[in-house]
Amino acid sequence: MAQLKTLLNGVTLPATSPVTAASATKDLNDALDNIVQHQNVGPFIGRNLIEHLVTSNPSPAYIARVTAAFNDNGSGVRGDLKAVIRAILLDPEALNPSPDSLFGHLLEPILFKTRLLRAFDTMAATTDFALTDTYLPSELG
Amino acid sequence: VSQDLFRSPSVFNYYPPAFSIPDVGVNGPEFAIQSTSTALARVNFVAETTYKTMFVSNPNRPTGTWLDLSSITPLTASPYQLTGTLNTLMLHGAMSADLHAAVNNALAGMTSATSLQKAQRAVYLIGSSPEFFVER
Repeated sequence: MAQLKTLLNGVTLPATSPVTAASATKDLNDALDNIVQHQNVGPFIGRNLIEHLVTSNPSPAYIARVTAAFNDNGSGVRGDLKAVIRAILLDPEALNPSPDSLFGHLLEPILFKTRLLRAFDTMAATTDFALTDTYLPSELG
Repeated sequence: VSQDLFRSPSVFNYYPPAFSIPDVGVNGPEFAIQSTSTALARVNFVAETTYKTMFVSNPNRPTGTWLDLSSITPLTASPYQLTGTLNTLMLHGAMSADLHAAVNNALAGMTSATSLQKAQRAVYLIGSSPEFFVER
């Protein structure tokens, strides 16, 4: 039986009857839009991207500045990820030339490997730099 | 090194975003897959590529990746110039004074080594240092 659907922040989607492929798609899109509008999305995405790109322990103020960029890219658009990345990489905390001892993050394994390989002229037995089974230490083309 | 590329065990990546380093209490997501053995695997990877000891003949796995250090071997005549260049190449100029001194001391002790051996030793020491493991 078709019912009113209550989403986050008290938003409701009207009951649909009969349910068709088109109405289901519309409900799904509306529900995703509803989630994106939730106030927790900016801090969540901002913190995760900061952890990947800059530091494992960002200050609350840093996350707040990135969240502000997520909420409004400067021209009233919410969710502009280009603006978010710009805010993350150009933040004073990311560019601080003398950061505190907790600043930064351990490189994940594949970035550690590529960091070394990119620093020099890397050679291999063949030109096929196959990447397989990188959980084994010896398995990088 | 505990990261099966393109085949993450979960849609939430290889490690959780909020992993607290045991006994330290500091957030460090990537440390969730950093263990005694994977830490050694990183050092081994540096050794294999700098000393050119990686396997070549595994079927379907054309390995044997190594670092061509010919661009820096001429610099080994002056250890300070070598560590300075490696500082720029590998650590974007952020090498600590302690690491500088450690590498220079190691090179100074290699009186009868070839320039390639010196270059390999310097790259290996810097590549296996904690400073090279983290991004700051």
